[in-house]
Order: sequence, then structure tokens, then C-alpha cells
Amino acid sequence: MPTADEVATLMVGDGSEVVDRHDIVLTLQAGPFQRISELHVGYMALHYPLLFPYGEDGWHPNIPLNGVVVDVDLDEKHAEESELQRKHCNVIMAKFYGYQFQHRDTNGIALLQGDRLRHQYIVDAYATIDQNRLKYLRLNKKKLHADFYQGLQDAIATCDNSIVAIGQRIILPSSFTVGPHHMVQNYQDSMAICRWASCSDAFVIITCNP
Amino acid sequence: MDTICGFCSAKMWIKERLAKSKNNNPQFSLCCENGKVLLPSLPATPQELEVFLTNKESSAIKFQNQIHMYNSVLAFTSLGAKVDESVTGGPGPYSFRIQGELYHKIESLCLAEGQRPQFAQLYIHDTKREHQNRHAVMPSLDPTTLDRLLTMMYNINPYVEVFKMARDMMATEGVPMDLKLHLIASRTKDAR
Repeated sequence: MPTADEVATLMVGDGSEVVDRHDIVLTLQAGPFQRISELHVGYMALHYPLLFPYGEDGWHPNIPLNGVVVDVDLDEKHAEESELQRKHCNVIMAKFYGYQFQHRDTNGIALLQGDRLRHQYIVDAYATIDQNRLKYLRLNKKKLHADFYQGLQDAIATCDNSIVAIGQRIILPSSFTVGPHHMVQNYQDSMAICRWASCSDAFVIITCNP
Repeated sequence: MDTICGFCSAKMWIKERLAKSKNNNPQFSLCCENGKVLLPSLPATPQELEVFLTNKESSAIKFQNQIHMYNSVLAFTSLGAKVDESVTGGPGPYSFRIQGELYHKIESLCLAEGQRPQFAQLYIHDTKREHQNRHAVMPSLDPTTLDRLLTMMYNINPYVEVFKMARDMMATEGVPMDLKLHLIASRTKDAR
């Protein structure tokens, strides 16, 4: 359980102290709305008080994996080189929610019994995960060698002037589920299977309504 | 669901095990990535809420059907997105399509001129009439149920406590124009 002073503080002053960019700072009058970062630990607890009555912490970027020793006293110099290392030591968002949705006898029942609210929560959680993956693709184009696709894109553009990219083009890699490349790859895989095993007689689609 | 994961004690189907693991010693990656992810378990649900969630009485059933409404009356944040109206209300199961990003938003502590309090503001503004204010937002809810849930929130929810502190401060010291409520995003202690 978080102690109260770790959850929030009340400040009187100009607020020049260093503030994490994901923190929520509420002022008396500051325009209509403030958007909350999905990296905030209270993101879900603030929106679903009946599922998380104790204001339970949600996902945040620094939850270590089991067995990883956290070195709290990292100095500046080491912080940078351990950054890379640390990326592979933290629980990712999808795994966090995957863990949370399981049924365990030791857990409270609010999250499981929430019925329609639980459905809403699951959709919300998935949207958050998906958004984060898309954000990663948008912000790491260099790392993913997105310029490599440029030639291909130019070729498409010359044949078809109507959909010349307006603004920025971001290519979804085939590892992005339900993205066009992922679909095409799956389709071609299945065609390859057909070629190897001869044509199929029936095409069965199974969907599930949880 | 008769199999229990040895690492995180989640209830699993035996067929969900990893293909390389044996029937008599199943391993799972769906729940905890074979022990790599281990998080604090969710605390036991408070008694009042558990009664509402599991009971078969008429008031509890009503609550279960309207749980999303009760939730939004008590929530601090609201949902924001560009909703595509063309698919809502059509035949088939209820669908909700949005364009762009889905996000949660929160409003400033005080009300703008002529505005009714909503979400987090309900915990701060005119709290002598808090029950009535909340009830006015969603008139179809049962006032006694709402009352009991609100009392529960005041007893256990840490965020409510923070907002209550802000309210008390504003009440005793007047309204200092530069008061800020700061909800901290990261945790310093180990989250496991």
C-alpha cells in the first residue's frame, strides 16, 4: 500500500521544483482539462475507483522483473550505461495487465467481479498498450531503420498520386499485430501452406466473445 | 481451471501450459512469463463493496447492472477521445469506435463560472452537499447505495484523502491562488 505522502503533495508556491513530466499537477484555475499520462501509476486507479478502491498502483515504467536486483544508488555516470540494461529488466505494460487479469484466490475480487466495468477496464488497458506500441514506433524510427522503406514509398507515390503522404509517414512493422504488414505476412504464410499441402477445402474462422 | 501456476498461483487451464512443459509439472507464460513477472497481489476487497458485487439482493443486482455509472460518479478523471458516431447505435453488439488516441483527463481544482462540479471536483467543491451533487450527476442511481460507497471511499482511498486535504486547506486558509495539488507519477520504493 502506498503511504499518503507518496501519492501526492500539496504545494503552495510557484512550483519551480523539479517535476516529473508525467506527474499530474492540479492548479486552481488552469484551462479546461489536463491530460493524464498513461505512465502515471494512478492512471487506472483514478478512473476506476470501484475496481481499485484502495487506489492500488498501476503500471509504471520501472517495475523490475522478478529476481532483478535494483540498485537504488546509481550515480549519474553509471545511469546511462545501465539504461540499456535496465530496459530488459523491467515488466512491460502488456505483461503487467496480463498478470493482473488472472484469477488468483489470494486477490481481492473487485477486479474480477466488476462485470461491465471490468470489460471497460480491459478495453481501456488494451488501448493503452496499443497506443504505447504505436508511440514507440513513432519515436524510434531511426532505431527501426525506417529510412530503409523510403525508396519503396517513393515508388508507390509515383504510381499513385492520390495518396501521397501528407504529414509524416510511419511504417508499421510486421511485428505490429493487426497492422497491414502483419496481415499480409499472415496471408502469404497461409498461401505458402496451401501450396505445400494443396488447396484447402474449408476456411474456418473462430472468434471469441469474452 | 483446475491447474495453479507454481510461480504466481494464478488459476490456469492445463492446455494453456507451455508446449515444452510436462503435464505433471506445467509451466505457463500467459500469467507471469514463467515466474519472471511477480507483482504484489491486489488487496482483499472491502466488505461493503464485496457485498454489493456478490449479493443476489435487488439493491445489489441493481448496483451490478449500473456499476459503470456508479464508477463514473466516483471517478476522479474522465475519458477523452474522438468518438466516431457512425457505428454507435447500429444493429448487433454495442460498438464504440474512436479515432486517434484514448486518454484520461482531469480538471482544475476550482470551478469555472457557471460550471457544475464533476469528477475530481466533486471531492472538493461544496462538499456539504456532496451527496446531492453526486446524485444530480446521475439521477437514476440509488442514493443509499451511493452513500455507502462514498463513505467507503472516504475511509480507504488515498486519493480521496489528498483531495480532502486540499479542500480543508482551502477552507481554513482562504484560497491561496497558487495552491497546487501534485499527484506523483513514479514510486521510489520497489513495486514488487
